[in-house]
Amino acid sequence: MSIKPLIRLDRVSKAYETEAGDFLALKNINLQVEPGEFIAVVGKSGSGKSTLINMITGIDHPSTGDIFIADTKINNLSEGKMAEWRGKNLGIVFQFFQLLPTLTVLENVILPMDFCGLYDKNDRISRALKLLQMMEIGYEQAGKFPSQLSGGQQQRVAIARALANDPKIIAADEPTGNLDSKTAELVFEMFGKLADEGKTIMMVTHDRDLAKRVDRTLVISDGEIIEEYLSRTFPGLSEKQLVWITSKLKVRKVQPGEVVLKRGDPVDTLYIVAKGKAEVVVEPVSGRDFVALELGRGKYFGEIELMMGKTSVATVRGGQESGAEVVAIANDIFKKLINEAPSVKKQMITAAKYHFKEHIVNERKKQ
Amino acid sequence: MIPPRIKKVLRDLWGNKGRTLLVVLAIAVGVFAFGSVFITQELLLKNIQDSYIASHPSDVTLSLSDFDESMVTWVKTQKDVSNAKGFSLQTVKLENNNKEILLSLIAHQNFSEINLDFLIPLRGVWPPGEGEIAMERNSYIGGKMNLGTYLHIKNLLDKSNDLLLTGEVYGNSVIPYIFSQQMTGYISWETLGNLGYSQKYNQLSIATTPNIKTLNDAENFTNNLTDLLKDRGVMVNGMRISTPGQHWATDNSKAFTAILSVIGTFSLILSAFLVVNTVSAILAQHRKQIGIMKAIGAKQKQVVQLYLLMVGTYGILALLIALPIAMILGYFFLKLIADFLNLDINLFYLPLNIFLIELAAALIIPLVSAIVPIIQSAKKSIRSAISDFQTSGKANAVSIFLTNLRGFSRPVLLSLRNVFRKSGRLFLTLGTLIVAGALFMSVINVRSAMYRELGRILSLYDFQVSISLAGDANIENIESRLKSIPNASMVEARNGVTAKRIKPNGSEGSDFHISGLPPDTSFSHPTVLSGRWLKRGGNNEIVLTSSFVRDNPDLTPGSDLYVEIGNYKYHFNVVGVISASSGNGGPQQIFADFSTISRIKDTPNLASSYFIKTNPADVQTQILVSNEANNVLERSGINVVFTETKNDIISGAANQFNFLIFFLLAMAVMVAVVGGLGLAGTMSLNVMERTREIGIMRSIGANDSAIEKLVLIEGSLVGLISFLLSIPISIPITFGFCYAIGNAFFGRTLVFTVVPIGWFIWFVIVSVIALIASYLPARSASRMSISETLSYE
Repeated sequence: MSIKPLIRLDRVSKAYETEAGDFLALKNINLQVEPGEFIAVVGKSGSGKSTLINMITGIDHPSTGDIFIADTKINNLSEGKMAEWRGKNLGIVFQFFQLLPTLTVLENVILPMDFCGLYDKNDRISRALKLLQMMEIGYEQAGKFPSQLSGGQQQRVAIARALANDPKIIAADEPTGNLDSKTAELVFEMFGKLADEGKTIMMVTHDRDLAKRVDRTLVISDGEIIEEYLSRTFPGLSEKQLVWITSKLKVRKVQPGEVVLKRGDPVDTLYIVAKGKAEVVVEPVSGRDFVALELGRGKYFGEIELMMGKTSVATVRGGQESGAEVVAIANDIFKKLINEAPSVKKQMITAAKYHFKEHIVNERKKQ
Repeated sequence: MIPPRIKKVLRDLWGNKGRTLLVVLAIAVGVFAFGSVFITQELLLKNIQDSYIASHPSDVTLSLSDFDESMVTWVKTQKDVSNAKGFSLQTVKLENNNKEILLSLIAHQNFSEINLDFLIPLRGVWPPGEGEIAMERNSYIGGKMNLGTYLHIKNLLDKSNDLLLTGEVYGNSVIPYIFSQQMTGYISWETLGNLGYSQKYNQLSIATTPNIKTLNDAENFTNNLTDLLKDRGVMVNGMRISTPGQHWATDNSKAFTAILSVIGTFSLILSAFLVVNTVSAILAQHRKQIGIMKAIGAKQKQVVQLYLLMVGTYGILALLIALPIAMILGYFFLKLIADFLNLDINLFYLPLNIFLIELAAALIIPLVSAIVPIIQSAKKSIRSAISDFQTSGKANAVSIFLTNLRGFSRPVLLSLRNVFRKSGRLFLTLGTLIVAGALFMSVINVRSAMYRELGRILSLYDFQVSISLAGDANIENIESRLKSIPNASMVEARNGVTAKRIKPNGSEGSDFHISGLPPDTSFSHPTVLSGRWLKRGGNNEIVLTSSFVRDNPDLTPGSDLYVEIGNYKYHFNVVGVISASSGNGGPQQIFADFSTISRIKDTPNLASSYFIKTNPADVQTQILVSNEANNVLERSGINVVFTETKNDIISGAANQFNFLIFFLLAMAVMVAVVGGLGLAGTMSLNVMERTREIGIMRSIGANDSAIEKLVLIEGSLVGLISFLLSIPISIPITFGFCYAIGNAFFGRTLVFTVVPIGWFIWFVIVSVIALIASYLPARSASRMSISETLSYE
């Protein structure tokens, strides 16, 4: 059974009017985020990362397209309803912490509860203190003003504030961008913990190292999304080509054990594992399955057949534990891609030869 | 626990003390200017009315031939008479500081039985004993007289007497010396006899019943009564009729305070401008915070409430400052006016309606002024609110024009452009300064217009000394004696009669004086407003004054004027109206040919008034000639009632106008303070908002003085622009003042006058305001370090 996405963007575009003319910040974006995912959004300055986050947080509205969070179509909400909805469902963390300077740390954390009228008035202090403690901000710091804290501490207070109304989603716009690496690491860990506890986290970051440690990375390039595993799969592709190929992908959910490719069947598609694991199964003589290889995120299969013109040399199925999400690139698209990108062609030829050799070895092992 | 958002408001207020003080002062200045004026207005009229009613005022005073108590008893029985009182009034001369001043001596048979126009003993002995006098307190103007001293008086037959000054009293109905040029003193019935006067009443004061409501009712009542008195063989020599239940100063006080309240209201509107400016700047500063609050769940309504609470708190703080100042200032104004009008302030409190108006002014006006910028800020999308990329002003047409200016240094050009960067703020700051400047200039203009009007009135008095004799005397005889005085170059004789108008409906009006003078006189140069001046040989021609026409609006050149003079009815042709005013409460004066009056009085070659032109015409010569004229005539056995120099006339009139001008200027200064605060506020806000820019300029080499100069030039430019624009704006305001003040105090619209010196004075004031208002922000700007300025959020 597939999981219902918590966040869904359908053909979302955003154009800004500038003195130099219209600027398209997001172009026809489709995105689905499942509950509990920890997603990093990376990209160059001006690529549209923050615009994407602003769309999801309702800070900004799409020019076209729809945004659904849980079952709420948020781009249809009035400003007042949006504020109320946002207060209860989303926690936002900013790069420059953005704590209100005239309120103490504790008061900053209470403020969202106060605005949204959530929690009993008498419970707000204890809840705020608990959240601060969770963020490793001691009781003695709670009465201080933000200016009396370090950057890292301020950002942890900002996270506590974002958690004040216990939202399902935390959106963070470069939360570590203004911190030294050690403090950034600490703050990142906090987000990790929150993800482990089931919060859905979308974090804009410049830090590619941090981005590697999340469940999923979205690369934004000129207002379009590239799934990070694609760039890992095809390191030789330009961002433009990655964007093009992203738009041609067909997503397929594969249940545990469900067969994607059957040995001997003709192959007209390249598959890339987007989530979970796929298993390459070699059928042993005894009739028992032999899992020759597990393919994780970014790994692909079908290239041997496409490059060498063979029928499927092995059976590939969804991982027994997690199943998988695979994306399919049709043969004509694949051909166009390798024609336009010689490095990918070379990569595919090498991979096909290497994997075919591995296949022969496996065949021998089987016997 | 106080919710954090409320704490935020309070801490924002406390954390920015300078800015809080600025906004609070901006509101407070408007509120206290407004409040003080309204307190003055409300309490002045209340005090006038209360002390007037408490004094049991008479509505009609008749000057009659001698009568006694039996007639008073008879009058009390007449229709619509609620009370009556007889007393004796004699006019004598009082020597005071080597000057002779007319003194009205009032004698009552029994002071303890005064039932009308009550007197309140203030100091010394009351009632005065034989040979003693108690002076009305207002008589002290022009020199304090000490109790226990002797006052040297002369009656009109020049018989001298000394009266011991033993007491001081207050009479609410006594018209102050500044208006009447006459003092008032009280003596006993015995003293009256001792001074050689008959111990009979010659004045009858009457209070009417509530049936007599209007001035017209009172005039009709007086006509009926005087007819009855004449039937009883009593001669009516004069009358003074007031609007029942209304103090003589009520109308003028209403007009005066109405003008002040216009300016007070202006101050309030201007302070609202400042509130808009400052609140907008605060909101601009809080742009990000508003965005963040919205991002963490604050609804637009909550943000609006938060900032309205902030403005409301400013209002409450302003009210706390403004109320006591308004009370103090209101009392000061009230006391000043009360002293001027010879009134007591028995009532002083904060009237509930004024408190409510003040509360509304301090709260509602700032809230209403701030609501639009607050809603605009709260409405701003979170994205634009939290965005770091904000341009602080687009290039507008003015900026582009300024960019192309040649011949200015870069920093000056930058200051020039900075002036126009925030056009909304500039508009409101300029508005405040322009109105302040325009009001100031208008006050100076109207002051000049008043003096011009005074000059027109005084053109009736182109002489240096006037002499009033006790009775008619031979013109040739008097003239030859007066001409013999050194420095007396010309002498003119005039005669006159007291008359009262017989209106078309048959009713009679108050007494007035018809002055007879040669039509081709060189002693008067009247300003003819309509019709013409008298001409020689004109039969029964009469020229009215503007203030006479104000009381008798049906009369114009060509009208017939019927008057009663000494029980005979006469007809005059009105040929013209000239610019002239009578003193408040004094009798009106109109003009006819000398020969016409001689014929009416049947006194050819006789006159009781003489006028001298001196050469030179300086004050010293005026006094010398006046004293000498007195001596010369008295030595010849001619009784001089009264001599007056032109300087006395001018200063008497000028005192009244200066009083008015003082108040108008005080109000204009208050508006100027609001303007100054406005500019100071704007400059500090500009500096505050450009902190980062200042840091950048510093980092590229701008030194302290360059930064300071930038701000000072900008402030001065705003001052200069406001100065230039206030000149045209002052024109309609001057017109308004000329209309309002002219009609209230002169009976006609004043001639529009522009005084360029007023421009110059304001230019100096606004330059000083601009420099002071810009200096502090300039200094603080120049003291910021680069790191401070660049990290400014």
